[in-house]
Amino acid sequence: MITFLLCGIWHGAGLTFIVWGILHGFAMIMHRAWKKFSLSMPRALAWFITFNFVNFAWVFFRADSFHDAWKVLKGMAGINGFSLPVAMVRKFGPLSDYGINFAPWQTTFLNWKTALVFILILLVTFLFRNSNEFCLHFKPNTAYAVMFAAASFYLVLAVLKLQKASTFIYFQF
Amino acid sequence: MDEHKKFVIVFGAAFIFMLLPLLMNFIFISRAYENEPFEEIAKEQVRTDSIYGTVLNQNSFAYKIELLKRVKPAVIALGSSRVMQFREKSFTAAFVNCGGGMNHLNEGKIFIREMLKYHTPELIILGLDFWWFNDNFPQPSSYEHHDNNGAVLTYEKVKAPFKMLNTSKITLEEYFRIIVQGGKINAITTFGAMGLDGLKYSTGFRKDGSYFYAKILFGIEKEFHDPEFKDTLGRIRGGHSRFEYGERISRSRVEEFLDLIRTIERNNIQVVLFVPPVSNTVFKEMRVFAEKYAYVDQFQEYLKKLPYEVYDFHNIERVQSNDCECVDGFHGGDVTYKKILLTILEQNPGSILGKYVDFTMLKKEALENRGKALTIFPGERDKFAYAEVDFLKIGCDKASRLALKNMHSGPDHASYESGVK
Repeated sequence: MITFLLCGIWHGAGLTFIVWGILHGFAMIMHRAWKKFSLSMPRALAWFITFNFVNFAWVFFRADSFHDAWKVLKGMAGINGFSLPVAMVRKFGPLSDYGINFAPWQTTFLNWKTALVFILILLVTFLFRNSNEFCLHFKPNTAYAVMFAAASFYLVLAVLKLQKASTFIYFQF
Repeated sequence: MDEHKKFVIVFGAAFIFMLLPLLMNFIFISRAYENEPFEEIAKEQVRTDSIYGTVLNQNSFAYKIELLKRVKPAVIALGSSRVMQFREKSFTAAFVNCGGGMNHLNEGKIFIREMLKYHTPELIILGLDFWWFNDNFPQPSSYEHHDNNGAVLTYEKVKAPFKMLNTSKITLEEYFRIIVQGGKINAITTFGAMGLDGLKYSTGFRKDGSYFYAKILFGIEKEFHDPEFKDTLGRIRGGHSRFEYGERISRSRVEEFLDLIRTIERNNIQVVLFVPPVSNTVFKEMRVFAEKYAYVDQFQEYLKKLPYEVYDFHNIERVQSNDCECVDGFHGGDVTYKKILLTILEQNPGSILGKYVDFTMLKKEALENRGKALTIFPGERDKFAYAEVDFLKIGCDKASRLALKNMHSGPDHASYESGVK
C-alpha cells in the first residue's frame, strides 16, 4: 500500500493521484490475500474484473478533480444515458424513444482501421510473450537484438505520438 | 562477452537503420525552420527581413505574441486573417500585425491578456468579423494549440515530409537540398525565408506580421481555392464555413465583445474598430440571402450605437476598393487595407489613427497599386521576380503602373506584359 501511495504522489500533487495510488495498493492487497487463501475464479472473470478495475482507477488518474472523476464514472456506468454512433441512426433511430442517444463523436472509433488495430493488439496480448516473459527467455542473439531494436523504434514513435498534434488551421501547404 | 558485444552492435545498427528515415525528416524540418521556437523565428525574422511561411506550426497566436515581445509596437492590428493585410510601411510608428491571433471573440480576450504581460501598445485597430456575432458559428471554449511554441516535435511533424513527397508538394531534389544546404528553394523574391511555404513559395508572414500571399498573387499555386469567388459563394449558398445563417445577433457574443473592449479600455489602450470588407461579388450574394443573414444587419446596426471609433466596411465599395483588389471572397488585399486607413482619415480627420499614419504617402501608394491585391513599395521593387496576375480569373487588369521590368508572370496565366484583358 505504501509503495502505491508513494507512486500516486510521485505522479502528481493532486488528491486524485493519491486515490489512484491507494486504489492500486488496495488491489494488490486483495490479490495477495486471494492467493494466500488459495481462492480461485474463472480466468475470463478475473480478466474482466482486472481490466475494468484498472479503467476505473485511470479515471482518478486523469481527472482534474473528484467532481470531474465522478462525472466520468457516472457516464461510464450509463447513468447519463446510452449513446450509439450517429451513423446507426437510420437503422436504430426508433431506439431514441427508449432513451438511446446518437452521438457523432463515437463514429471516430468505429472504422475498419481502428478495428484492425484492436484485433492486432488482442492477438499480440494473447499470443505473444509479455516483457517479463521476454526477460526470462532472453538470449543475446541477433533475433533478440533486431526485436529489441524494433521495440525501441516503436517506443520512439509512441513518445512522438504522445505530443499533441499541431493543427492546420489557416493555410494549407 | 563477444556474444553481448555482438548483440549491442546488431541492436544499435538495426535501431539506427529503422530510425534513419525519421532522422532525415527531422533534419529536413529543422533546417526548414519548421521545428524552431517562435521566439527564435521572430528574432531571426526581424533581423533578416524574412518571410515566415510555416506549414507544420500553425499557431498564429503564439507567433504574434513573440513578434510583439520583440518589436514592442505603438500600434497593432488585431483580428483574424482578415486584418493581416495592414502593413508596417503604412504607419509612421512601430507596428505589428497580430492578425490570426484572434479568430474568435474569446480568443481576443486571451490574446490581450497575454500581450499585456509583456507590452501595452498605444492603439489597437480591431477587425470585427461579422460571424463572431452569430451563435451558429461555433466558438471553441479552449485553445490547446496556443501551447505549441513551434518546437513541439510530433509524430505528424516527423512523418510530414513523406506525405509531402508522396503528394508532390516537394520534390526529392528539394528534400535533399534542404537537408544538405538549408535555405530557400525559390527565386520568387529576394526576401529571406523560413518555413516550408516561405522557402518554396516566398509565402507567409512578413516581419511585421502581415501576410504575403505570393503563391496566390503570382499565380504559382496550381489550384487557387477561390477562382471567381466560387468557394465563398458556395459557402453563402450552403450557409457554412463562417457563413452560417443566423436570425438574431448573439447576445452572449455581444457581452463577450463588450468585455473585451472594457479590458482594452481599462489598460488605457485606444481602439479603432472596423468591419473588414468582403468582395463586392460576395457582398451582393449575401444581400440575396439577406433574410437568412438577418443577424448581420443587426450587427451593423448595433455597431452604429457604440460609443467608440467604429467603421463598417463590410461593403467594400465604402472604401472605394473592388473585387480585383481582393485575395479571395472575404480577404481584401493590402491595397484595400490602405484604402481602409485612407477612408477612416477622410471620413474622420480627427481620428486617433491620424497620429500614426502618413495620409499623403498612403494615398500615393494606394493610387499607384490600384486594381491589385499587393502593394509594392518603392524600396522593394527589385525584390520580386514575379508580378501579380489575375489569379481570381475575373478579368482584372493587373498591369503595373510602376513599369516593373524583367518580371515573370505566373505560369498558368497570361503574360505580365499582356496582362490587360
